[in-house]
Amino acid sequence: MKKFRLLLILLVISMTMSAFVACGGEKNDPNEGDNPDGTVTIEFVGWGDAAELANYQELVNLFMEENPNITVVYKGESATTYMTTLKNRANNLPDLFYMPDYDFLEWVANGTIKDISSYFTAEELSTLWPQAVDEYYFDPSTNKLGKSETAGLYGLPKDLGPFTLVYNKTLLDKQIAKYGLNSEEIYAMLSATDPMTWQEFRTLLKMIDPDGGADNVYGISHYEIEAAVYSNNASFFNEDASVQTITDPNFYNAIQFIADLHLVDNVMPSAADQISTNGYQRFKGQGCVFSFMGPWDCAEFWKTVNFDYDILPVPYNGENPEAESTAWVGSMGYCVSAKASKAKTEAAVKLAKFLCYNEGAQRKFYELGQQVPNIMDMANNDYLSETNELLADKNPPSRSVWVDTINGRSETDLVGGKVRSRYYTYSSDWFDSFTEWLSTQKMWDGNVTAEQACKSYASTFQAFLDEMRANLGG
Amino acid sequence: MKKRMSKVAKKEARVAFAFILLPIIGFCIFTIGAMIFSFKYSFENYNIFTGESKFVGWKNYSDLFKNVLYSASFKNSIKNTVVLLLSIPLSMGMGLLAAVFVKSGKVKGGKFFQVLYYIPVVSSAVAMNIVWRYIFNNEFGIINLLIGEKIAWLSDDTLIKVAIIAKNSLNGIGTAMILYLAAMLNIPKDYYEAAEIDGASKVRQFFKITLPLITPITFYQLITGLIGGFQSYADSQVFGAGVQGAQTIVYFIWQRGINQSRYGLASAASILLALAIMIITMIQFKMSDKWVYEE
Repeated sequence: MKKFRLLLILLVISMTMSAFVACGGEKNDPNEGDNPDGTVTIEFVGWGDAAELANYQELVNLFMEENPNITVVYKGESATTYMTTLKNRANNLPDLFYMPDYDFLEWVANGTIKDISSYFTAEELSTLWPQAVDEYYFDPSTNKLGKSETAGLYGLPKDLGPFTLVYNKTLLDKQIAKYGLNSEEIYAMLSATDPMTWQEFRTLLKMIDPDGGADNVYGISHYEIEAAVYSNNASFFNEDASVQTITDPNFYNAIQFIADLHLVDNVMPSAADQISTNGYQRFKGQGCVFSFMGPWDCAEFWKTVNFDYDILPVPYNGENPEAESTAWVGSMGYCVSAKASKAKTEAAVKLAKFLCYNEGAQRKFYELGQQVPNIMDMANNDYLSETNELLADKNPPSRSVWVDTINGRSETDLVGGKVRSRYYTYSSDWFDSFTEWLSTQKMWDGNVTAEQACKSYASTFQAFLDEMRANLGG
Repeated sequence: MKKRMSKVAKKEARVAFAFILLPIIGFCIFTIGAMIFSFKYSFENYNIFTGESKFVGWKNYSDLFKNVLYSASFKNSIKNTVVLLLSIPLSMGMGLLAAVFVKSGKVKGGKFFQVLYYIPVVSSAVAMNIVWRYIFNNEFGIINLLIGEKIAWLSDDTLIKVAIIAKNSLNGIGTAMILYLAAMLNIPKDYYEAAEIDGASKVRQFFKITLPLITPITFYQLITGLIGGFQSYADSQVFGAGVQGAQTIVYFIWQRGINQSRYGLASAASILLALAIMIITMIQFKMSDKWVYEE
């Protein structure tokens, strides 16, 4: 019995110790992966569906053929679990990994991402969209984002994608025929360069959906909050994200505009119906004429939808002289682990450069419907005028809307884009909290106005901003 | 005087110990170990990126109830979790009824019903939640199609709880039925024969013999049901898709801890949840003396 007790005590001690070992911080060997024969092995982790991962593997293989001394172990994750996996590996990150722009600040401010400025010349970067590259500058001395004299470059853009209005052309033609509308008059409103005002858009939606979705076809699936807020010259907070601005009339009027699409015009499904079928599903299922899409949606749309569609700039408030069509623009970066050895950093940067601005790789990406090219020249020429005939007759024909939105220019100078608000803040949960507040207040059902909902949430939102600034030492 | 173990008994003990060794190791590392670390982190502000921790005392615990950013959602998650526990007595009641009918032999194809009711138990919780989500869909769900009205089961804060309780009650019938049936079949027939001779009706037999003698199973189901109910997560994440009316305490812990990197706060909520489960279980055990049958 004594022996048994002794055995048990030893077992408990060893298990307790192993638990400590398991939870202890990992020590990275700075030279791990630098092979004695001069070759280097790096780990690259990204996300995407099976097709996207296969495309990436193909490009990674091509990169390895061109760089025989570098072995890339590429791993893909589903988008929904990617950030959780990455966070669990925060102390042992892959050498190269994706970083969504809205999580960038938290990761870079905590020192997990390497400053890779010294690996680039200004000339190299000048070929890329400056809006995209500038997103990944950060100054650790001030904890501020954006390009400045003291800021370093902490990532290369994987892409830059505007989330613009899209319409189902096939379904629109059916609605025009069904309600005996003037086709020319309607198509005249759908300009790729001259965005509609909110007022015009509401009129159009009521024309094509006069029965409030009774025929299971709504005018629009949902409305992007940031597209409305930005297109009414409003914002969630001031320039340095220190003071909330949701009590500004421009802000809550934008929210009210969205609510009224259901409450007043009845051209958008109720909040309850939007929960059971989201905008993406409804658009793909031809349950609405208008919705929103980004360039990354093309790959899936080309495979699965059997109708014609095209994109448009997002509408803006025509009654606000300061307002212009402004879509949100999302980006993701290629970042290098702060703990990567010199040889691995060099290899990782080389791969990031290849994926970010190698002409062949960029052509492959847009051919596969994954993004607008990062290289400005390629986007403005090859991509728009189809000189390489890579896109054939693929939708959407008005790809110029995406390029204009990134560029912030068009014939009428009314089309632009702006980075998502969450990019500027230390964490993103305030956005979910805000939208949850609007739902629980039943603002979308008309129980309170947008003004009441925003004003009642303002102090909580300010507390969020204060907490996030405190995390940044502000 | 201590009894000495025979060689055979010692060998048997060693083999038995070897069989339970792996689960014990797993339990110590992944449960006890995790609890120790959770307890430690609940008093700290842990930064997953740097691995550094800062002692903050009771702040995480007070934040759960006082901080404007978390207190409302934490209190809401407690309320939701408690309300959703209603499905436990419902599923037990329905399971008992089903067991009585199957045992009575009056229902044709009793075995078929046993299998039918048990299918949800052996199916994946995620798959089941997705199927139920289609059934309760606000727009094209079977229930709304049958009623002929658009009821917002999946978005209304109250209705989603009704939907989850209904779903869990129906899903739980299988387990309850099988356990009750096994318990009923274990009751000696002599008791019923004696009651029959004394002129007791079937209803009286049920309430005076069956129900008291199956109380150990009722107790077992209450204990395991409550522990499982307090740890409910798939209902919030998969069925409720995160809507506020469906957020449970474990969902809160996941959302704050994993999703938002507030490990200290999530650890504090975990410790409170573990304490609540422990206290409730202890009370149940204490009270069981008064109503659970023991041979």
